[in-house]
Amino acid sequence: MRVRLNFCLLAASLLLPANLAAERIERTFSVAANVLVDVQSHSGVISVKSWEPAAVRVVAVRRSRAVEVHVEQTAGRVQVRSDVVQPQAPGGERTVDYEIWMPASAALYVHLDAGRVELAGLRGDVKVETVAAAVSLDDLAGHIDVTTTSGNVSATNCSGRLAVTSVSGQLGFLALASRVLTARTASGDIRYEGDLLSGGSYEFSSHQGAVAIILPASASFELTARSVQGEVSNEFPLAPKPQARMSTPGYARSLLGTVQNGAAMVRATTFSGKIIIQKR
Amino acid sequence: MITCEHLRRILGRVLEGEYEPEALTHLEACQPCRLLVEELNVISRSAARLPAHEPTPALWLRIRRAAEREGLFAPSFTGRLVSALRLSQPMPVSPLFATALVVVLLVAVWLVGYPPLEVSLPPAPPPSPVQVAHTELVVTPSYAERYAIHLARIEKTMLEEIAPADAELGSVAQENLQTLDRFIDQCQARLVSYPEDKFTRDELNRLYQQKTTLLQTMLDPDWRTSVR
Repeated sequence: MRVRLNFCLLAASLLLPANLAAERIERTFSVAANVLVDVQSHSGVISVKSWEPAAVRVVAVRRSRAVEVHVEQTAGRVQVRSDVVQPQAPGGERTVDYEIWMPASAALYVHLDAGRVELAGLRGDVKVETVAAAVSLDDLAGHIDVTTTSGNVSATNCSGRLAVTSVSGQLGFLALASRVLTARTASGDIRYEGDLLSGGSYEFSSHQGAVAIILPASASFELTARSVQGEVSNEFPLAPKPQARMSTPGYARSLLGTVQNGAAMVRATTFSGKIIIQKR
Repeated sequence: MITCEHLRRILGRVLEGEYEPEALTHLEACQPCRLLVEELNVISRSAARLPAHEPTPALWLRIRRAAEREGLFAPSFTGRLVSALRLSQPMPVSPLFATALVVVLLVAVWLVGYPPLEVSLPPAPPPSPVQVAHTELVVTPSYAERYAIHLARIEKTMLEEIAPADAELGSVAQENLQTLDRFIDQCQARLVSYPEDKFTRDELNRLYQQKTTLLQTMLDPDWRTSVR
């Protein structure tokens, strides 16, 4: 019986394609605090966190031999790349999962086609580009620039200047302390929940998706909300601006006015999506 | 029927008017190729209007002298005579003689008199080749259509080049391009009714930017490696 079982296991292992051999790769580099970490991959999870040591540590797990992992250090930069060596390999076999630790003040560039990007605790500037990969940002303080095609983006507790653009991704912002936020999606929804900083500028734009801005009752802001074909609803007492008349006819509804002292500027625009300004 | 690729191979003959029946059939059915042939014909007609510049005799003389100096061929008899007599050097002119010559010329002009004032205006110059091409290709109402067709052809070529080895990623790009195109159409339709709507213009601009970004992403070698 045992001989038969061993034979089956051996046969099964022989039937497994060589491509499916997973491999774990680890590298650590001593770096300056302002190093740039450049990560480019096709699919998988890229998780980047900050840590105390003046070093960058990369742990990569590739799922198959269809893809090669290259990690190298050049002047002022650590470059991490997944290179497809078997172009006909399906998407799943191109997957490489990365866990990266780097100094908080280091800058980061990430390009990922599909999968997920998770960034936490970074203080340097960050640029992320994805196609279908979702992006999660937690407690970032630098200048953050995110572009996705269909990937959803969520940002929590971030305090740096934030610019997020997507074609069809859903954009969510929670408890931000950012003074400048620009969020743009064509068909996705946008949801902002949290306070506004005095002197801050917050711009939300969607063509078809809904824009929901949920603020504390004490929020102070100047509102410009315009939609060509969508509805605009607002729960805050709004002092209309004297010249708040729309010069262009044909708008479903637009709201321009000041809430409290108008300490922050909020601009929300859609073509056909609904705009909701709501009290928390 | 021949293909677009085949038509491009025989394009030179087509432009010279040697239309093969199959090429004509293809051109009747294929708008992009028809536009291409039309545009190349316009350029060809415009180029034919360019004036022919004959080099001046002085230029030929300078070339000949340079060739003689280089020893490419022997100087002519006249050249040898001029060289022997050193006539190529300018002769000194007396200032008194020069002044007298000027005075004589001025008096001669005064005696002949001014031309009559009732001179008819010269006919308007014919349009330059550039103006002709600009009128036929840009000013005519079909410009927007031509632009849209060329853009669509570029997109089609791009999408065909990206073989869907990763079909999922390819379809993500296709779907999002279609979404953006639909929204662009919405904005353009609204601008027909409200051409002064600045917001819609801005929105259209943003959509074009997003489409450009998406197409750039798809052109990136990494992406193409990824989906091929």
